[in-house]
Amino acid sequence: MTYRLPLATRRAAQVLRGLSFLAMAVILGLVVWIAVDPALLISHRAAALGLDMGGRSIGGASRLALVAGAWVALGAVLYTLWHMSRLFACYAGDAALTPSAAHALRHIGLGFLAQSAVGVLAHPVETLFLTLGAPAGQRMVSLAVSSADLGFVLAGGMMLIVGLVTSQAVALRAENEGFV
Amino acid sequence: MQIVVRLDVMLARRKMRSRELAERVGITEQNISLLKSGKVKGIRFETLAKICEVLDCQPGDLLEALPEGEA
Repeated sequence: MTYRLPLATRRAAQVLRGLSFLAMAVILGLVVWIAVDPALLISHRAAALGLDMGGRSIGGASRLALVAGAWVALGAVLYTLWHMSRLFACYAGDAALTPSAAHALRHIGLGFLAQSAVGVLAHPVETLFLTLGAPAGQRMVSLAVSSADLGFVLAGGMMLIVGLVTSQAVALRAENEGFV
Repeated sequence: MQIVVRLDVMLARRKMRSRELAERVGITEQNISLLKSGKVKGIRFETLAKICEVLDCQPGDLLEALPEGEA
């Protein structure tokens, strides 16, 4: 018996693959933009964290650390998007129950978990480096876990499980195909 | 022990070609070839029953258990 994905599913996967590439291009653009103009990143992060910089600039080392942190966060997003595009390529090519699709699913899960970890770690690191140059008494380190971080943990765990189950389905399919 | 498929012997006795058997059983000629060469993990009861019906034989005429290395 041959298993084929419906044409509509394969076409939708092709469209989503294109969107994944578009998102990756945007992320790569952000990586370059952050390197060229870190001041915008710093003002954006300060506003997001509710910090009043009061026209104060931050030191070169802190600036470098913030840029590096942003690159790590964007790297986790790129990693996830890359494996999403691989998964959509599998689905578009009618290869849903294959080791490659299972591998992509597991790595999407790992990517989501990495994004969650980066999200939790970024908060104290960013507050530390953004306030490092502030007068004594105004420096701070804050820790926060957002609902988005929890969502990424749940989504990552779910994708990992789906990937593992798909691996088992791939093994079952191979077993089934060995029967006449 | 190993299971050896004697389909080629039964096909020769019935003077039937693999293609005809494949058509009458409803599986591909490639699968018949794999079955004859023993390169399959197993055979479904449904397929075995159809082959027995077409070749007018019993499962024991098609399958034989032999000690390892005696095929």
